[in-house]
Amino acid sequence: MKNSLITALVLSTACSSYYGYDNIGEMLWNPTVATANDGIYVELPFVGDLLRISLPDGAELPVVSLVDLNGASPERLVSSPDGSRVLVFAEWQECKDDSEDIVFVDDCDYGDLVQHSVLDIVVDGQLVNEVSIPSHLNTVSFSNDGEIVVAYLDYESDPNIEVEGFADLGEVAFIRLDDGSKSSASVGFSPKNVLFSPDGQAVVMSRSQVVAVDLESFEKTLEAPLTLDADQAIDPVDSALAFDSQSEVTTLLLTVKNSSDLYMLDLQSKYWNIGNLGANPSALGVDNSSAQSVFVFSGSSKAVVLDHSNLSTLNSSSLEEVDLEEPSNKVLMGSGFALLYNDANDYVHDVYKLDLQSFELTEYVVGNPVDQMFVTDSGRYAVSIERPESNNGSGIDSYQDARYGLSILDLSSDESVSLVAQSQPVGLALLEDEEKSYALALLEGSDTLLQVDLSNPTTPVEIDLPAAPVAIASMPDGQFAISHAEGLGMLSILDPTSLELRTISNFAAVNLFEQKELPRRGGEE
Amino acid sequence: MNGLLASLLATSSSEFNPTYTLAFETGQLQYNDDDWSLVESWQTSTVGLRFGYSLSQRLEIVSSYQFNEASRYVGGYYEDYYDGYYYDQEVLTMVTENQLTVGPRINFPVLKWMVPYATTQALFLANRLQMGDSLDSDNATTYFQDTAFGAGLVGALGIEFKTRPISGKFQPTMYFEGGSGISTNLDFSIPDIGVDGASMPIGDLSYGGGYFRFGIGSRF
Repeated sequence: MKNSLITALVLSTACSSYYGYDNIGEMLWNPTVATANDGIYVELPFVGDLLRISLPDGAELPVVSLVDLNGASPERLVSSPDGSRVLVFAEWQECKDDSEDIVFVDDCDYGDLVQHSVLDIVVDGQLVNEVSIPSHLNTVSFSNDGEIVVAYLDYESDPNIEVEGFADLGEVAFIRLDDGSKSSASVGFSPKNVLFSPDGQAVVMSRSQVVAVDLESFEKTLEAPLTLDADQAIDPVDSALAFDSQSEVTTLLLTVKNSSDLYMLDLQSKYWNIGNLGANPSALGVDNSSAQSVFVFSGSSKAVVLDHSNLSTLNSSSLEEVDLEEPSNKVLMGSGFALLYNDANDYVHDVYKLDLQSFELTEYVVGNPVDQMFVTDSGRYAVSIERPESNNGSGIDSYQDARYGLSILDLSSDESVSLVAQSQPVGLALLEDEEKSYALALLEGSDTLLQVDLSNPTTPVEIDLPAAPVAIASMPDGQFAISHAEGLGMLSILDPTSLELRTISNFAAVNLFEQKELPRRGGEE
Repeated sequence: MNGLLASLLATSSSEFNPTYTLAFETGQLQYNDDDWSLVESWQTSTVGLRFGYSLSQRLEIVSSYQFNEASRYVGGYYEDYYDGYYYDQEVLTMVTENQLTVGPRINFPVLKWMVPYATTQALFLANRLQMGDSLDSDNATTYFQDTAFGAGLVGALGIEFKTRPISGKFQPTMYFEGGSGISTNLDFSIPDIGVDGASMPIGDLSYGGGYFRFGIGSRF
């Protein structure tokens, strides 16, 4: 008996130093943050709260405050283009049983629980408006002035949609941000893209249909079918609005799946015109300064430039075909040029700069397949993140093939430099002043931020970070928010001029031991 | 072995009336908060010492100090569909429990070697929370600690077994007591990260429910 007691006591003490592991299923904080004029907004998925991290005037370190969402839990954050607002996709649960004994979700019978989805509009850390939206709406587009958002379902960006009762998957919600007023329209199955015309219309592409909605009245002004055959499904692939300053006509350019047809819709006359591009386009870009559009084709080594004048009488003279050595499937537009590249085919290493005045083509060859491509605002440089490829070479080629990389393309001197990265780039941001252009690169597992002078990319400046980074986001004031791979929360604000870092940590523990109470909104929904 | 134990217990001396008791003990006061699961997989026992002072054969004042380090990793993964990333996060949490109880114990001696008793004791708590990627604060990348204080009450019925005194000076003893207890909330916060250097709340942990102690020591 004595031995048993001693064993029990020893075991009791030993257990005290055992570190068990609790997989809570959700992260304490989401490193994908939203940046706004007043600070950085951070989701706490596990506790269902929203934090604002701001840098008050004169403060040496950032400070944390809780944003009251009236009991709702944030699901996703989106900053408005001007940084004045943060839109929060959020959910809150209501218990139909209003007994005072029911305080937490667990206290409420499952059958009495009702889930509400809302879009919260947050300004300066305060909830200013809450708009009920169907739970499956997961994407927003901002109007040109940033005052109206269109919320719709983008199934490809997040297939985990939840439906309560019945849901119209073609529903699009129009929300005026200054007062939270909302209107909805059904635009057809699977809305794909939303564009905003200069005359105040939202143009929504969906399967076999294009719908235009007036942004003042939220009334439909146009329903244009892509086919008259109800059995035929035509899915949009890419779209853009082309504005011809001479005729002041705005035309919708629309490419569709498995077709070489280009659909063109004159938004004034509401007439369709259909042209043929000779191959199935994979992407399009519009340069309104030269009134031209560029189409690329993943299955064909060519690019097509479309002149916007006289789109209603499209003929072969409106199309300029440019031959490429290898196919491109993506296009980025700069002022007066297009950058063509391929991020799908591992065997394609070519990047092309196409001058839209002279149609002169400049070819760059990067080290590895392009994963992401960026162009600086000035159009002086392009920077690509490259991924490893199948190791076909030997020697130093093999070494480079097996690694991530970064290429800097000088778009004025037509030179390029390919750098090999020690690990996968997890974030890239570009910044420019009048003289210099820089790339700020973060590498997985590295406690260093690399500031690459794009005019001299081989000698980057290394900035020590307090921990390995996972993401970088630009802030409206020109600073950068760097999220670190720390479970307890760590965020650094980088001043790119002084390269000073101001770091705050531990914020992910806010309300960790606080069970969220059921909101009681007195019948409000 | 059983015969020897019975012999020892049965022949306790009635003339030996020690004033003090010192015992090593272990036990638990049940957690009363789901959030303890973020600190410990299952509740481990505290360990400590009990000191007793006999005012009479029927009445003692007893005081215990109990200590425990409850800790675990908390983490999971988060899939960001929009950016296509998986994030892995892990945090180590530890609560260092310090419990001090003090109160009267009323004895009901029915046999020379066995004493049933009842006790109620005031409970004082000073728990320290540590969180970080490591609890070695000098080498941790993220780390903070905070201490919270609380008070409570425990009540229990117990039974003590005594042996024959040794050299007329010491009397080995063993006891078990069980009952229930309750405490106020221990509120924790993250220091200095709020506006104007304010703390930000983490929330509270508390105790409440079953209580037991097992001790082995000596009267002298």
